[in-house]
Amino acid sequence: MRAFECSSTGLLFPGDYIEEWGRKYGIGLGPVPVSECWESNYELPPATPTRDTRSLDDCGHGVRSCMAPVFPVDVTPEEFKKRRAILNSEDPSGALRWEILRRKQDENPRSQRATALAIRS
Amino acid sequence: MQPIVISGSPSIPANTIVDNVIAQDPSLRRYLRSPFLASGSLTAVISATGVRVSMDYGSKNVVDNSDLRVATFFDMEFDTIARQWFPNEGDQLVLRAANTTGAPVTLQYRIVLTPIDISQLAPDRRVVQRIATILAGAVDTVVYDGSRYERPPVDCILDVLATASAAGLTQQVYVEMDSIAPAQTVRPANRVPQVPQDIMIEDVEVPQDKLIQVLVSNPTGGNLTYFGRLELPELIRT
Repeated sequence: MRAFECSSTGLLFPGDYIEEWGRKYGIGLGPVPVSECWESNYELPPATPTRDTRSLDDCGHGVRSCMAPVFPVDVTPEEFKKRRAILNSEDPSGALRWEILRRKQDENPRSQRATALAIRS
Repeated sequence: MQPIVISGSPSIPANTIVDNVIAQDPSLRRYLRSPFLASGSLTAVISATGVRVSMDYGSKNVVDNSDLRVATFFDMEFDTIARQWFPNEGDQLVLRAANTTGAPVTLQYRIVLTPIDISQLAPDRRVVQRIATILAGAVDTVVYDGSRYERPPVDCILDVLATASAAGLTQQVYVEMDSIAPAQTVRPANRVPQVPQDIMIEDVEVPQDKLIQVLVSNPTGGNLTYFGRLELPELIRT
């Protein structure tokens, strides 16, 4: 089956990704189709807890839409299922994607999330 | 006197409102108050959709709860959302950010305060910028319903800027019962509007408290997103 691959994360988007750009995918990301996958912004300091913070899980390095180029690929349905990106339309609040990225931040040696959690602004 | 440039790239925690982003950074706290009568500008972008900002100085709002363009770095020319506001010496600057998403999002902002003489003081330009989903087949969705500047607090001049996520949206603009613009096609740029290319209506005089209605229709079979901005330069300084 036809799919589109994010050149930064390697995740796959559905075959109508380009055709439905601005309708089902990539809302607000400009007129040229790019990847809407999220990645962590390790270059900038992580969010620190404030007195209003409900959970330490809400803090960490900010996420960003990676906006990397996408290119067409032919994959098997099994492969697509395995590497499928979580779409913005499926996870409008970002909670599902943040769950994944937060775990990655905790494993990445570049991450300062653990340090930031010890600081209360 | 030299201009002051206040900039930062804080991450806003998920599900959090930061009452003043400037105060959150200890190194910027000395700039919480404008040190002189100044002409201000605010440039800002966010790293992912879902953060809204407001800008106040003293007790006056100039940017109402507004969505921003998604980008890693801003473009000074296009991402300056508020370019004409004039804090007095000692006025507190408040940049409020609300992150309604379930993930931390980075806000990149720059406030420039340029000292001016009292003779250069001009009316402020108030701004509201919104992103709204327009459902398939929807007719005349009221975009700025409930916004602070749906009824301007003083006499002002109205500029309407708009873009759409894809082709298909049309908009009409009314001031009270006056039709300012019949149905117009909205440009499918799929990002928040930029000056000057996304100005759709300019220089409409709106008296104080008169209702500004931007009505957006979507005759297509799928949901589309409307990106809109109202710019309201005051006729007299308040």
